[in-house]
This record gives sequence, structure tokens and C-alpha cells, in this order.
Amino acid sequence: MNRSIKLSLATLALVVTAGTAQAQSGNVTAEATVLSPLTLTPIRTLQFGNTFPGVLKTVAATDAANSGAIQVIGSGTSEVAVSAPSMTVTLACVGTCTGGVATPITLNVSASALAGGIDATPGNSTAFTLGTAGANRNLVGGNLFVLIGGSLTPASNQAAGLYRGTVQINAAYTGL
Amino acid sequence: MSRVARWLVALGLVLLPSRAMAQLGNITAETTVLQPLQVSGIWSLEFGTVPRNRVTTIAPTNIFSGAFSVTGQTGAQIAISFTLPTTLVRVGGTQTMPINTYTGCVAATYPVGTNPCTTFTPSAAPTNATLVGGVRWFYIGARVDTRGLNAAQLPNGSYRSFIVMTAAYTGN
Repeated sequence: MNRSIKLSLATLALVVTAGTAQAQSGNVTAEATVLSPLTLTPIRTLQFGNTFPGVLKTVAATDAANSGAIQVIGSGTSEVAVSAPSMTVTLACVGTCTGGVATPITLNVSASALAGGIDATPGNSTAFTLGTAGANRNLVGGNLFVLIGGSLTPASNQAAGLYRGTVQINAAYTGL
Repeated sequence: MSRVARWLVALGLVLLPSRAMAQLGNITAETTVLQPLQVSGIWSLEFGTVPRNRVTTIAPTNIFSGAFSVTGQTGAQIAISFTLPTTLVRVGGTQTMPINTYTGCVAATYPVGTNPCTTFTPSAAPTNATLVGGVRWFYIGARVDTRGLNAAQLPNGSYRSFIVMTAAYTGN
């Protein structure tokens, strides 16, 4: 009887041992290469120069001397969505404006993208419609230059003086 | 949680930040607005007393010609135009006296005659002028024609109308 109990325990121990021995383990590696974050650096002021009251003035985005420029720096050839929170910007009198009414001037923004270089060499720039919804472009060598143009018309009774505003651009990786 | 589920969660953690990390950049936009134009009527075009059945003409170089001044940005080009009445209306009445054949000249000084005055045609399309020294004077002449109008049609009295001058920068 004692021998029978000992045998049963031995059998049970074998079963439990066998169960433990059948467990398998496996590993997968989860990894990601984190791209360098985008940085946006202002390169050039959008410069309208002198403007006459009541007269429309336009600066083309491809105007190498006067268009505004922002350099987007990121990773390789990743696709970036470029957008503007608003396509109109208000320019306000800086300091003293005289001889008329110093109402803010509305600047209507347009833009084109220039991948890989800031010069507006024909064929090197790619026009696109900058909007609040955004436009997608690929970085070239980790760069995208967003050139900003626009137009404005001071009122016919606009006070003389310097007017200034800020154009804001957003950029984000699309994941592509 | 299964291994598959764990893998999907890990993948999600990698992808989500790339969409969420929008970056902002600003540039300055600026312009210098030049001096606004100011147009002023300085002197009326005065025909004085005119007889019936006559044509009375005032040349723009006449001291009684009408005069406007325009001040603005020195050296800028402006375009000027006029709204010219075809009749003068009796003050306190309805009778009219024809006025026509407008003539004009532009000079650097006031009154007219102190410097050369360059002629132009007020009724023509906008005329360009340069604001040398930031100011120009525009003189207007015309003629009134009372021929064929009797005393009932043209009673004694003062006759008046308005000449309107408009000036705008051309951008040049």
C-alpha cells in the first residue's frame, strides 16, 4: 500500500514536471527610429518696401530679394505637411504714423515651396497653394524652404509710417 | 494581452508622435507706407459778371482760374482726373448756364503765372504728374456760353456748380 502511494506521487510529480517543461517563450523586438524633430527657422523678412496709399503692391513668393523665407529642417526625404493658421495677416503701425489714419493693413498671404535651396532658380521652385488645410512636400536633404509672398493695399488715407506683422507657418511630419 | 496586441500598441506609440509634433515658425512682414495724398480746392474759377449772348473764357493761366493743390510723397507720380459740370445753376433757382471747353495747366507754385505752367486737358483720361517737391498746383479754366438765352432763361443772379478733382498714386 505504501509502495502504491509512493508510485502514485511519483507519477503525479512526473506529470507536473512534464507540464512545466512544455512552456515556450518567444521574444519579438519592438524598435523605432525616431526622426529628428522638425525645426523652423526664419531666414528672410517678407519685405514690401515703400507702398503708396491706395495702391496694390504684390511680392511674389519667388521674388528672391523681397519674399519671406522659412527653412524647415528635418530628416532625409520625409514628407512634411506645411500649413498656415491664417492666410491673412494684419500689419500694424510701428511707432508713429502720421498724416492720415493708422488703421491696420491686411496682408493676403501666398506661398511657394522651394525644396533644397533658397534661391528661386527657375525649375528649382515648386509653386503650391499654402492654406490652412496644409500642403504636403518632401524634404530634400533634410530641408524645405518655404517662400512666402503676398499682396496688400494701404487705404487711400493711410497714415505714413512703418507697418509690421507676423506670418506664421506650421509644419509637421505626415508619417510618410 | 496577446503578443500581437502588445506589438500593435508598441507600433502605435511610435507613430503617434510624428503626427502630433507640429512645429511653428514665424517671419516678419513689413512695409513703409508713404505720405497720403491731400487734395485741396484753393481758389474758385471766377467768371465775374458775364453779359448775355456772349462767350466768356477764363484761361488756366488767368489769375481768376480755379486752383487745386495736391500734396504727397516727394517725387511720386500721381494720376489726376476731374468731374466737370456742363452747366452752372442759378443760386436759389433752376436756370442753368452752359459751361464747357475746360482747359488746365499744372505748375510748381501758386499763384499761377509765377512759374511755367504745363497744359493738360481736364476732360481727358487721367493725367499723370510728378510731385516734385511734394506738391503740385493744378489750374482750371473754361468758358461759359450765354448765347441764345433770353432774360427769362437766364435771369440775373449768381450761378454756381462744382468741379471735383481726384488724385491717386500710380505706384511709380
